[in-house]
Amino acid sequence: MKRAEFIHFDNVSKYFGNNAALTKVDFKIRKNSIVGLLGPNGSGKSTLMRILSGLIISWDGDIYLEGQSIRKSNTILKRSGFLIEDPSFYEYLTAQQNLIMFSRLTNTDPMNVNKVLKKVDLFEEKDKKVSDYSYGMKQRLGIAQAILHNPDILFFDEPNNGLDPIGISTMNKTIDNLNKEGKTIFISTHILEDVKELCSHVIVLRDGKLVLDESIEGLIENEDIYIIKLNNTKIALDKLKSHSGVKVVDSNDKKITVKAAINIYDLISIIPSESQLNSISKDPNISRLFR
Amino acid sequence: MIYHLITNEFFKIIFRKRTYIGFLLIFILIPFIVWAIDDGGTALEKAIYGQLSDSFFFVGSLLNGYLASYLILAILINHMPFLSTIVAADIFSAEYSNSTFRFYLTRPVSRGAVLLSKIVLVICYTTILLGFFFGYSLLISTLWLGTGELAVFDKGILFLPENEIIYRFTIAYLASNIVMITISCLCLFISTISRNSVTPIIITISVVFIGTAISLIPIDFFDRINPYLFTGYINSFLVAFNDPIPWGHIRDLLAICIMWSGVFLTLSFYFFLNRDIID
Repeated sequence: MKRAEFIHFDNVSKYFGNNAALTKVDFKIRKNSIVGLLGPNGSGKSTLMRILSGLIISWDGDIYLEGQSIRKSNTILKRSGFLIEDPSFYEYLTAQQNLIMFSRLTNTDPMNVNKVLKKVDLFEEKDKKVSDYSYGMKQRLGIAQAILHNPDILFFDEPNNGLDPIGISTMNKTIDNLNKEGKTIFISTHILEDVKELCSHVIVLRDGKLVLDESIEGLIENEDIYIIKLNNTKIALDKLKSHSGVKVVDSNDKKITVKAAINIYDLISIIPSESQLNSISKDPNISRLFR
Repeated sequence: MIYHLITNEFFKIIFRKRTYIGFLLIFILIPFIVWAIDDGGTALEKAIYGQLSDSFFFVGSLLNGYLASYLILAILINHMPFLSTIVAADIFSAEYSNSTFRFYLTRPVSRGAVLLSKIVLVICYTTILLGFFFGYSLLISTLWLGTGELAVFDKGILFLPENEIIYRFTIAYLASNIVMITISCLCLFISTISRNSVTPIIITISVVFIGTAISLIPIDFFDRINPYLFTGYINSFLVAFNDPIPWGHIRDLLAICIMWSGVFLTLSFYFFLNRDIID
């Protein structure tokens, strides 16, 4: 089924000097979904978040929000809340003062400040300076600032980073509740369990390239991932790429990772004997994409 | 929106301790200097007017609050860039290094408006700090040493009547403020491209130091370029005590400072508007 285009990343690329942080990343986000952006450190997740949030100015390609380019208007900033990497507040101000300041930037009713502080369970601590907050409290305050102006899209970059198991559970519950309120949520993370627990869809980046764009169900149940180890990957790669039931996810000179809609015997039959197959194994865990 | 941004900028600096360092230093230092002037007043008078006393007969004391203020300003004005740039130095760099722009700039506000609000703040801070320096110097000096005519050197000795003195100090303040704002604009520009708060201060003070040195070195080349450097006008507040006031010189000061401020602010806009925030 073709997903409705709520947000469309259209061949987004970003170079820092000669280094490609993102290379023609192209995918779509459905409305009211929770999409997980997965990838190891340095895969381009934060760069993508920063492009969306306007922190990165120069980039190639385009991003469309309901068909409208985000380059042409700041609608995405009006409709979105962002929590990018570590929560960084004005530490010498209290939580409430920080949020009051942010509320001015979106013409939000200052009364909302206390409401969101209650929502993230920080109301009792509102008069404490942020410098006195624990990391978990700062993360929750990060969520509070993101939802302060009641946006319908939320972008959370590593929201569970640095949290203890209880903190992670609370954070996931908060994210789930926000989604139930009708918000579209885009989470960047390198914690696979978060994705399985929260997301309806997963995007995987590696070395700035999109390596997987799939629903969680599709990823876990409908298609199989195989790791094929062989002596000559080049010959096998051409054959595998040309087969309609096989999608090459990753390759190097020793192994090829594929997502196959065919069974393992058919898969083996595609691989030419000259490529000297050593082993083939099923790998249902998406953690392979981090290797 | 710009009103809200300016409010936020004031909100940010009001709660920062470093905002008050300059005020605190001035608050402590000036009474100390006034006391020292009072204590060494006779010797000071002799030093200033010693040679003239052979030809003139002075009745009463030349030392009063206005003269003390004049001396304090002349002594301390060269050090004011250290204090006036405290806020400008980290107005951007602190946001980069503390990563606070990650939240602040992900709101639907233009970077140009954010920059403008910070410029307004820096100008206000510099103006208020320098106003405090002039006002507090005059207040403490006159309360301590009283008022009277102001005796200054201008092609010999010049006695300025008491009813003109506040007007002269106001002109001096405005002239100094324009130069200090230019220095703050330089510091703000460096802050837009720096990731720490120390670098903008060091670069700004170095520029002021080199510029001042150039103005003091009697070489033709330096003499030719000096009128076009804002650093050559740091001590220009003294011309407010000349008779008549050389308005041409003040016009030059105004033109040069506005030109340099324009250059620094244009560069600030260029770098900030095109900078990727990746800290």
